[in-house]
Formats: sequence, C-alpha cells, structure tokens
Amino acid sequence: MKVRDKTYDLNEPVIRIRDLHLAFGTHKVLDGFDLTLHKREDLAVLGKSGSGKSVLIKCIIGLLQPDSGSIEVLGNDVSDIEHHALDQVRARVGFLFQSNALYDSMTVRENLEFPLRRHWIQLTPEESEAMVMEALGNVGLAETVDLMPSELSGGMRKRIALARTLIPDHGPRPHHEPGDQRPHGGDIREVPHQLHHHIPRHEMRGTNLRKRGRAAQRQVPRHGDRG
Amino acid sequence: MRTSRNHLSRLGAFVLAAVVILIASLFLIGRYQHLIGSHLALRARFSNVAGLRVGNNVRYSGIEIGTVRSLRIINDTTVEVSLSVKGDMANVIRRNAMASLGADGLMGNKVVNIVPGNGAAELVQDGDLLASRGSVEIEDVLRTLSGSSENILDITDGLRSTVDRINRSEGLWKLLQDTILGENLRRASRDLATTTGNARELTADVRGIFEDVRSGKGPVGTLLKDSILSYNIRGTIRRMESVAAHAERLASELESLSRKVGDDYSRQRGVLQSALRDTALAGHVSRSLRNVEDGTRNFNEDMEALKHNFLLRGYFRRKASRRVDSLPR
Amino acid sequence: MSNIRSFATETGELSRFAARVFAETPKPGFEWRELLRQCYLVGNRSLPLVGSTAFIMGMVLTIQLRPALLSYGVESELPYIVADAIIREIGPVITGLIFAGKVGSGIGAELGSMQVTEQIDAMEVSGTNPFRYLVVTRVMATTLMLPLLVVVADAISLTGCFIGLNIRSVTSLPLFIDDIFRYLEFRDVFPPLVKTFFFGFCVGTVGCYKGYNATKGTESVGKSANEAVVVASMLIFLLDLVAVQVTDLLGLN
Repeated sequence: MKVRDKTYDLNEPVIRIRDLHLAFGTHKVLDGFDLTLHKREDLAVLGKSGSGKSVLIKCIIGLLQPDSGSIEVLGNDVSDIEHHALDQVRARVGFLFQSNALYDSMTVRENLEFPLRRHWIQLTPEESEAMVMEALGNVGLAETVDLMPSELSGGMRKRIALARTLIPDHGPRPHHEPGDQRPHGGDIREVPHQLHHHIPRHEMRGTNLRKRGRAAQRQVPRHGDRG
Repeated sequence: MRTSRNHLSRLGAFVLAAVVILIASLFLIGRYQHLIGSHLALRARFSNVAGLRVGNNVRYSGIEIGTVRSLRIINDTTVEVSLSVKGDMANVIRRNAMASLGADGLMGNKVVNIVPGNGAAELVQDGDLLASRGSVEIEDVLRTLSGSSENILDITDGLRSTVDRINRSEGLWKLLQDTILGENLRRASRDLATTTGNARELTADVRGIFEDVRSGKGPVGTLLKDSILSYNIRGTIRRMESVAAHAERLASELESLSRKVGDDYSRQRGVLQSALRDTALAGHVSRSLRNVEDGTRNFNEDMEALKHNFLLRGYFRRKASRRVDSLPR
Repeated sequence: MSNIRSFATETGELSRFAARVFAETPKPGFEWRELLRQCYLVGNRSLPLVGSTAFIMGMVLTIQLRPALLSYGVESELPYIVADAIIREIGPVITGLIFAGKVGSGIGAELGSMQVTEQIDAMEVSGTNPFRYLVVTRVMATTLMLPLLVVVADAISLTGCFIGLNIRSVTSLPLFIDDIFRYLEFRDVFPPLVKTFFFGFCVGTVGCYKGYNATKGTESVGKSANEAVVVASMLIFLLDLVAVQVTDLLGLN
C-alpha cells in the first residue's frame, strides 16, 4: 500500500473511524465506535477510567489490532496495512504516552534521536543535533540535553516526552495525559497552543478530566463502561 | 559519546583477553598432543597389545615423546601399532631401537617403550617399522615364581627325609669310623649349610619384595611400574632355581653316601668311634637341618601370604580351578 | 492439573519466543551499536563478580581435594584433576548460574520495567522494532559473552588453584602448567565451550521473555526478574544434563 502524500485536502478527514469493535475476552471495550477528525481541529476524548480511551488511541497508532471496523489515518487503514507502510504513517503521527515512556537507559539527547533511527531518514549528525535542539527549545528544556530521564522532574519528563513526539513532525499528534502531572515552570497546556503557531498540526488527547478538555476545541464524550 | 568509546575499548580488552587465553590453551594442548609442530610416524608390530589404546603414551628411555596414533590388525597373530612421536626424535632414535609394551603401574595406562638397541645403526626415518620385544607380564613372572617354589618344596622335603634316614641309620656309627667317609660327610654337610644359608637369603629377598608390594610403596601398581623390581624378581627366581638345583645335587649326594654307609654297616666295616667323638660335627649337621626346615617354612609362609594378597588372589584362584579341572575323574 | 497446563503453555510460549529470536536475527538492519553496548554491559560488568567467585572456587577446590589425593599418593595429579573439573563442569555451570543471577535478572527487570512504562510501545511507535532492538541484541550479547566469561573464569580459577597449591606445598608455574596440559585434550575443552553458548542463549532468552511479557504494575517487574533467574538456572542444569549425554554419545567424555 502506498502512503499518500502529506499535502492532503483540507476537507479530507485526518482520522476516520468506522464501527470499531474490540473486546478483551468477554469484556467489550470498543463496541461500534465512530469518529471523524478534520484538519486543524483539536479533539479531546473524555470518559471514565477503563472506558477504553487508551485502547482507542492505541488502535489509532496500530499498537492494538481491532476485532473489526476500519481506522483511516491520513487516508491509510492502519488496521489492515503492512508493517513498513504502518511505520511511515506512524512517522507522521506524534504519540505522547501516559507514562511518558522515556527510555531511562538513554540521555535526553538519545531519547530524542531515537525516532530519527528510522531507516529512510538519512541525516548528518549536525542535522539531527539541530532537530533535537529545536524540539527541546520548543518545550523550553534545551539545557537538559545531556541529562538522564531519572535526573528530571516529572513535569520536565512530560515535556521531554512531548519534545520527542515533535521530532518526526508530520500529521496529527495524539497524546495521552493522565492529568496528574503538574508541569514544571508553567502550564503544560500552554505548550500545545504555542506549538500551533510554529507548525500546522492536529492534536487529540485522551483525558479523564472534563476541565482539561477546555484546551481542546471539541470534545467527544466516551460513555461509561460498556463491558 | 566518549563514555561509549571507553566502554567499547574495555569490551575489546575483555574479548581479546578471553580469545588469547583460549588460543594459548588450545595451542598448549595441541603441543602436548603433538598435533602442532612436526612429528615422526613409526610403526611396531606385536602379537598382543594387551589393551593398548589410541592416545596412550610413547616413551623413549622413560621420557614421553609421543602417542599411539592407531592400532591395526594385520593378520590373526599380528597387530600393527602406529606411533606419532616428536619430530626432533628423528635425530635420536636409531633403526635398531626396540619397541615394547609396558604399563603405568598395575592398573595404569599401557605405554609403548622404545629402548635403544646395542651398537651403531642409522637414524630412523618417517614410517619405519621398529623391532618389537615381548612385554614382561606379571602373570608370567608369578607363574615361574610359583613353579620354582614348588620345586624347592619338593627338594627340601627330599633333603629332610634323606637326613632323617641318615639320623636313624645305624650304619652311621660304622661310617663314622671311616676317616675318608667322615671327611666326605663333613664336606657334604658344610655344603648343605651353605646351600640352606643361600636358600634363607633368597626367601628373605622374595619376602622383602612382596612386603614392599603389600605395604604399598606408592600405589599397588608400583610392582610392575618399576621395571627394576620386575628384573629383581626374575633375578631372584633364577638364583632360587640354581639353589634348588644345588640342593638337589647335594641331596642325591647325601643319599648315595647314606646308602654307602648302610652297605658298609651290613658288611661289618666300622669306623664309628671317630664320629662318636666328633660332637662338633653332629651339632653342625643338626643346625643345618634346622636351617633347611626354617627356610622351607618361611618360603611356605611367603607363598601363602602371596596367595592371599588381594591383587593376586584371582590368579591363584584361577590356578586352583585349573588344577581341579585337570584332576582325573 | 491447571498447573501442568500452565507449565506447558509457558514452555510453548518460551519456545515460540526463542524461535522468534532466530527468525528476527538474520533480518536486515542489525543493531550493531546496541549489540556492542549490551556486550559491554553483559560481559565486562559481570567480570568482577564472575572472576572473584571463580578464583575462590579454584582455590577452595584445590585445598579441599588435596588431602584426599595425598592419601592415594597422587598429589602430583592435583592440578590436572582440578583443571579438568573446572574446565569441564564447574567453570561453565557456576559461571552460568552467576551469569543467570546477575544478567538474567537484570534483563528481566529492565525489559519488564520498559514494558510496564510503555517504553517498548514507544519504540514500536518510533519505527524501531523493539524485538530486534531489545531482545535480539541482548540474546546475542549473552550468547557471545558467556563463553568468553567462562574462558576467563577458568583461567582465573586455575590461578586460584595455583595459589591454593602453593599454600601447602611448592609448585613452580611451569610444572603446574605442564601437570595440567600434559593430560588435557581438545575433547576436555571443546564440549564445555560449546555448551556455554547454549547457556548464554538460555539466560538471554529467558530474561528477555520474562521481561517482555511482564504485565502492568511494578510488582510484575520484580516477578519477571525473579522468574528469569529461576527458570534460567533450571534450564542451565537441564542443558548440562543434555550436554553430558550428547558428549557421551559422541565419545567425548
């Protein structure tokens, strides 16, 4: 499957989910879920704990395979796509993990360089250094470049994780936030807004705090536990 | 980046150290196994290799110089042994050297001994066939030893009965009056004393040897590990046999003497008085007789002990069963 | 019954995991840098522990065996007997067990915590195959480094043996080396060396399997580490049993 060019039509949806089903054993987590996300649109998915927000977001990025239904991301069905093409789609999606998922055996620099390891990305050391410093500058933590994640505060780690998602910067950026991480030196909610001005982007987040949803332009409530 | 390079060099040092140790030990093993470096192939033929195996050591004058490469049966009575020895031995071993089989002790591995021959000869070349010599087998030694001891037993028995007859002979009184006969008898009993003395020495020797074996100077295997000892045993046996022959001669001499005395007595030709006065001679004779008896008893005890020695028990048991088998039904 | 069944399932999954290691290894884009880093962590970092235990083992074995050999009058064989015991069995197995304890648990805990904190998912999303980046490199590192560690440990053990000999009597180094290598053969060295590759593979695979399959929660990280050591140690003994029978069949004992 050929991945479409990134200059896509504004009216075309960035993410289109149709009739998504996923169950763990007898526990139906997603039961006929539909969603359409357009360009330049912010989206928050709300719901109680265990209602399937994380599962949905993992389906979108291809970490989980749905039982049935289709998930189109930038025009590619990620539930039915070969690995190499999925990788190219993922390269255009930034994904912020709930627990940040910083590699704790690597320095901040190595963490940020990690997405650049993709085999089709050919960069000189100077280019990759410039990209790392730009991403770190965007989250205001350029001085931490040689520290280990364990030497950072929780908020700093969250920002580094965000900076890492900025590295392969194409397409929408789902992020996943538990809401209990207090940002360091300013509200983290400001950062995505700020980024809007730098780079055209799409962002959606799963959060279980309704008030957090204010940062998003549109909210999609996830109703209750379906299992 | 700098730490990673540091790690890399330390990793390299570790890998190099391990590889060097491995290669060095493999090289050492190879050198001892003569797989590395030049080596010389020699052959020897035996009728029986007595459990020799591939990998057993080859010695030249007691020094390890190589290993047995292969064993091949040439025909129904010949086994060819291929030896691989150090290459520089080509300047030492001569064509007249002899190969023989030996053992590292009674239970130890078999070894091939190469012994230099007498006189001058050309140096060996690769693939040469060495002359071989039969090995000294402990069974052979023991068989001879036991045969000899039986001979001695028979002889001393004969000797005793002869002397008894002399003792009881009434003709002796007559005989002792005859000076020529008296002189003869004195010489004969002197000879007898020497012979019994020899016999006693011998039994002491044999006993000493078996004491050594029993008390385990080193592991039991020392018995044949030490080829000097096996030569000693053979020497002892030879001497024992000559003593036995001597004693036999002596006994027959005495018997003929006593027969003569008996004849004299019946013909009433008496020279008895001189003998009656000669108490020294009587004491001499009876001491000799005691010596012979002691020696015989000692020898019997030694042979008995030998039979009970755990190493040799099997041998004697086999021997006993053979004797039973050969009894007429 | 359910225990037996879960044991069988576990064995099957472990086997599939091991097969996947083989399947993924020859694919292009090998992680050389990570392999070297893991080799350093697995090899060099274990060296002090492995070396000190090996040294003590060689020395204690020598001192303890000496009276027994003395009573048989074969004290001169002591270096060879100790060397053969160390090279054939004690070196590989003791080093393997210590390796399982140190490296197996380390891998189990590291991969377990990476799984729990979604670092493995993050790698997947970042376009790096985590199995190849984390598992294949670690298994290869343990497989390659354990034999080298065993070789070094054997050498250190024999140093301990040499010192142990010289506590009670005097043996010169050349005589010591001669005593050992006079009888040592290639078949004393090669089968143990080959089995250590399997030991290393087993420690790496079990550690990765336990870590990779950790479930959510910090408790499962500790469990992964613990189970990795237990299973790897068990497997080392099983492999040792298989190895002795194979070498016996090949006539190498």
